[in-house]
This record gives sequence, structure tokens and C-alpha cells, in this order.
Amino acid sequence: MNSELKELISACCEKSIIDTGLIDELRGSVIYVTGCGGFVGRWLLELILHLNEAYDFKIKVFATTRIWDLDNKDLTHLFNHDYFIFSDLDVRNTFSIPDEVTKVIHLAGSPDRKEIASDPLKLINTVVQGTTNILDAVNEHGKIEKILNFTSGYVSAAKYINDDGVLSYSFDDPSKLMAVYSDSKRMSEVLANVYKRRYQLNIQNIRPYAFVGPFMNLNKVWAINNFFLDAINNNNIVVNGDKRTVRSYMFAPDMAFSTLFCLSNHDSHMIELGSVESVTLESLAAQINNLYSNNKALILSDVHNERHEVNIFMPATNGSLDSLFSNKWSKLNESLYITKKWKDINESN
Amino acid sequence: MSKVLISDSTLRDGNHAVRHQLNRYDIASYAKAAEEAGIGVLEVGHGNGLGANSMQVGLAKESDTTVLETARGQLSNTLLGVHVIPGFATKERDIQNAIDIGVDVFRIASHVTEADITQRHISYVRERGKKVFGVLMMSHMADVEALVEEALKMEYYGAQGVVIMDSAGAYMPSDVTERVTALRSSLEGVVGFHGHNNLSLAVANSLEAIKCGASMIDGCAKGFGAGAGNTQLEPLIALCERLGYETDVDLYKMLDASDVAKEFIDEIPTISPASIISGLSGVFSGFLKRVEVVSKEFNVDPRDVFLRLGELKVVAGQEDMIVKVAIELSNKGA
Repeated sequence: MNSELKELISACCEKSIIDTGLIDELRGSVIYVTGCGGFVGRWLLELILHLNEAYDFKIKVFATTRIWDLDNKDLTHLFNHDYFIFSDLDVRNTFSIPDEVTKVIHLAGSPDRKEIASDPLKLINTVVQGTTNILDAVNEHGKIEKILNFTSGYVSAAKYINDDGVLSYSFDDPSKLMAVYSDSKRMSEVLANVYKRRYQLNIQNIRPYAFVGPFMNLNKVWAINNFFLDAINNNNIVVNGDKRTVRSYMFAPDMAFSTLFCLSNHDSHMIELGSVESVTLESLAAQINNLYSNNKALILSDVHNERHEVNIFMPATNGSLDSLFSNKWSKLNESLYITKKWKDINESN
Repeated sequence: MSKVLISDSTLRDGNHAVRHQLNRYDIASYAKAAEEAGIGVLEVGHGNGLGANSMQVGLAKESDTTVLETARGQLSNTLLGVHVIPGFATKERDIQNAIDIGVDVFRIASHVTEADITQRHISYVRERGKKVFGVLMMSHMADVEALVEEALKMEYYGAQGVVIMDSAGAYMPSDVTERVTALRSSLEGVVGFHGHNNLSLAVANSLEAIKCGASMIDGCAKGFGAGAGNTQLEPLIALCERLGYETDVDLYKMLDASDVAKEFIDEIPTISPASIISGLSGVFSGFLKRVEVVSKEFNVDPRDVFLRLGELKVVAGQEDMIVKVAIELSNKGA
């Protein structure tokens, strides 16, 4: 990672730290993270790196993922620190957690739509068997103080609003493709709750919504990624589906700090983790378009014009996080600007 | 007013009708006419798409590169499109070459139940910022639920829409209604329809698809295409005008383009007896010659063989079933 990028990431981390006192509990802790090779894991490592270097937190992390790419130059600055221990782990196989670990973050289970479509059984197995294996490992370890089990915002009922402003809720039909993901994650929460009651484990389920920021993989097929790709490639931005669809995007460093806050406290209530700043797909596309000087047209699909209900995917509330943080989180326009800046720096190198 | 993107396959599906012998002059003259007519997407290439030029499926008159460069030279507003079947086309050799030449639209196709094979090709194109659509061929062979799931897979891989092909010309308008409506309510992106005229329903089915929410319709000048031919563009454009569907295509200039196409069409597609049976049975018309030979050998009616193959839902590659069916029918007759 070049110096310009390091500076940008460091500034993002610094801004996300609302108050180090809120996460003092993590000083000197040893954290075991599964699925750390993804977007969430990457930001956790970047923030912990910053906390260790700038605030001497002395956090040690066992960072596991299915296969680490040790030749990835983008990760060299993380590989170079001995307080990060990297190891390959497929959570579908049984494993144990090192004795010195005090806290666990279970991230494994990709929300990649390509994987949902191409290998649903592998995804189900990773989520369900993976959750069972991590909870067995935690139980066997016996001294883990806190476990965060990342599931998905899709575990919550899908929200729709009609022209009269009336909200309705529904769950994915099990015959639908997306149920592979949402129902697996729902089962992950069920498992976590069973282990919590049966073995008195301090588990908190976290339902992540959508995030934005540097390191996001634009090749994953989500609306915001499509818009960035279109803009970067100097194409008109195509808004597929219903342009009125409502989403929210939390800035990734804010997500990382909120996660560490959850890990540091003893609350075990489920948290919906995401921004409460709503945006329609049309507005999101326009904002991304405006960031780029080529400023092309928006191609709006009218395929759902006759549908009366609009889908909303954003947290109703972030529970305890709202009162503490929500007015301090980065705004969407700022998050988008920094994401573009990151992409520009990458392109110029 | 509904807007419909017209995707013109005259220089790709039409190539089937002349055993892939369209030359660079045919391509240049028709591409120029299509551009003037305001066609949305002009699909060009070997009948089986990019990379299919081979002894096995037919040697083309011109290489992919020549075809693409020739068409590219004539187009400015009309998008240049290609048909891609994974297996014939590879990412680095064929798709990258097409991107380098300036192809705008890639339509990645598979048999209707095999969308899985399109993942890498769709992803490759999407990641390079080009328009990419999924195409489900022989779409009548899957029930509605399976069709929707396969289409969703393509969308999840990154396709901006999915086109269903009525490859055997087997659909009735009610079939189109059911399928396009289901796709429209499930997909976020474009739904497209590609008709064949085995039962003389290609234009009617295309209009039905538009009515149910399809916004990309394939067709060919003079219906020039494989077997009984494709949806004929001239009446389709005219009827879209009458029904208030906006295509951005100038009807008169489309009629002029049709005259240009006439220069390289040896034989206007007609609905032959074999085409009708192929449409009724829903069997790939490429089976025709083999069915005739085998039926003669076992003294059975080739039309009965076709219909039985349709009941068994055979697909290209299962030609060995022809003999089995002929024996079965022969034994019944005895």
C-alpha cells in the first residue's frame, strides 16, 4: 500500500474513533476472527492497526480466512506486524481456538451473490456448519469473554412501504434463491441463541446491512458497486429495478469502530448494524455520477413502476449504538467521496 | 409509453441460414443500414457466436475479428453486440479480443437449465465495464420456476438482464405471458425475448412479451435466421408503432434495411413441414437430418419420432436417443 493510500486509510480510522475510552476494554485483548479476508475483516484489521500504532492498544488478532493470499502486496503492511497472526481456516472443518484468545468475531459466510447462485450448498454449509464449529470451539475453550456472531440484515423481515406510507414486512420464500443466504444466516442466529442459553456464552448477534468505503470489492454484484463500475468505466449509470428502492450505506470505518465497541461491552442484545441515513437507488446513482467529471446520463429502469410497494433495506434501529454514535457517523456523500478517492489513488498507481 | 430496445440478429442468427457465409461486404452494407434505421443493438458473428468458427459447427466465411471490425466501422449510435456460448468462446482469446475491437454488448448464453456455466464469462465482461446480458436458450424446456431461478443466477453473476430464447419456436402466446410475467416480477434488470417462427407466432409472441414487460426484443430483417426464421423486424417495428411502443427505429429506414438484407439472403425462411413438427415437439431442428435417416432405416414416421423426442425433452447432444425412439416406435407398430 503506497503512502498516499496509507494516509487516507489512517485518516478514515482516526475519524471513526469517536472516543478511545469507549473501547478501553479491548486494550491488551486477543481477538480471534473468522472470515477476516472479506471487507468487514479488512476494516477491522486496519482499525486495530491504527489503534495499536497510534494509541498503543496492544491488541493481538488471530486473523483467519479460507485462504490468505500471502503475495497480496495490498496486505503487506498488515502481514508485517507480529500482533497479527494470519492463518488459513475453512470453518466447515472443526478447529480449536488458541488459549490466549479472549474475544471472538465470527464473520465467515459470504454475502457474494455469485456464490449464492453458483454454490448454494457450500454457502449453507459454511454458514450453518461454520457457526456450529466456532461455537463448539468457543465452548471448548471455556474462557472467551465475548463473541460477536455476524449474520445479516436479511435475517430481519424485508420491509416494504406503499404509496400511503404503510409499512409491511415479509420473509424470503424458502424456494427463492436469496433464501439460501437469508435463511442460513437466520439459522446461524438460532444456533447462537441456543448456545447462549445452553452454555451461558456471551454471544451477541450482529446483523450487518450495507457498507461503503475503500477496499470494497466492486466485482461483487450489488447496486452501489454497479454504479461505481459504470462511472469508472465512463458509462451511463444504469439503475436496474425500482429506482425508488431505499437503501443505506454505512461508512466502513464507522462499522469497524461500532463492531469493536460491541466487542468491548457486555451487552448481548442483537444489533442491526448499518447507517440510518436512507437513500433511494436513483439518488445514490446520481450522487456517484456527480462525483465523476464525465457525468453521464442515468438510465432509469421503469420495470417496477406499476408496483405500489417500495423495498427498504436499512436498519430500523442500531439499538444501543444509535444514541451513542449515529450523529457522529460519516454522511453518505462523504463516504462516497472517500471511496472514489481511494479508487483514484489505486488507479493512479 | 413502453420503451423497447430492438436487438437485431440478422448478421448473427441469419448467418445460420447461409451456413455462416456472410461476407464483409454483406456485413458492412447491412450494418450501415441498421445504423441509419436507429437499431438499438446489432448482433454480428458466426451463428453460434464468438469463437464458434470451426470445422465442428461450421467454418465461417470471415473470421470473428474481420466481422467485428467491419461492423464496428459502420456503427456509431447503434451498439455492437455479440452472442457468446461458453465453450465456444473463451475469455482471454475471444471476449478480450471483442472488447479490444469495441464490442459494446455481450450476450452470454447457455441451455436454459445450465446458467451455471455462464458465471465466469458474465463476470469477466461486467468487470470490464461492458454491457452484459444472460441468454437462456431452448427456454421452453424448463418450467417457469426453474426458468426464473436460472435467470436469477445470471443476474446474480452480474448480467444486466436476461433474454429468453424460444429456440424451437414452440411457444404459444400464453406460454410467453406466463414466463415473461414471472421473470419481470423476479428480475431487477431487463427481460428480453427472442422468437422463432416455426408456428408462425414469432411476431405475436414478441408483442405479447412486450405487453408483459419485456423491454429487449430480438428480431431479424426478413425473419432471416435458423430454421423457420426469427421474429421479422419489419412488421414488429410497424406493430410497435401502432401499439404505442417506442423503439427509436425509423420504420421506413428499417424497410430499406430489409431491402439491403435481401441482397445476401439466398432463400427467405419459410415454415417447412419439418419446422412445424420441430416447433410442435419443441425439439431442436438440428436433429432433422438424423431423424430422417434413422426413421427410414426403422420404417417409422419421422414426425412421430420428433414428437416422441419432444415428450422425452431431449436436447442437442442427445442424438443417440433418436435410434432408441425409432426402435420403440417400430416395436409398437409391429
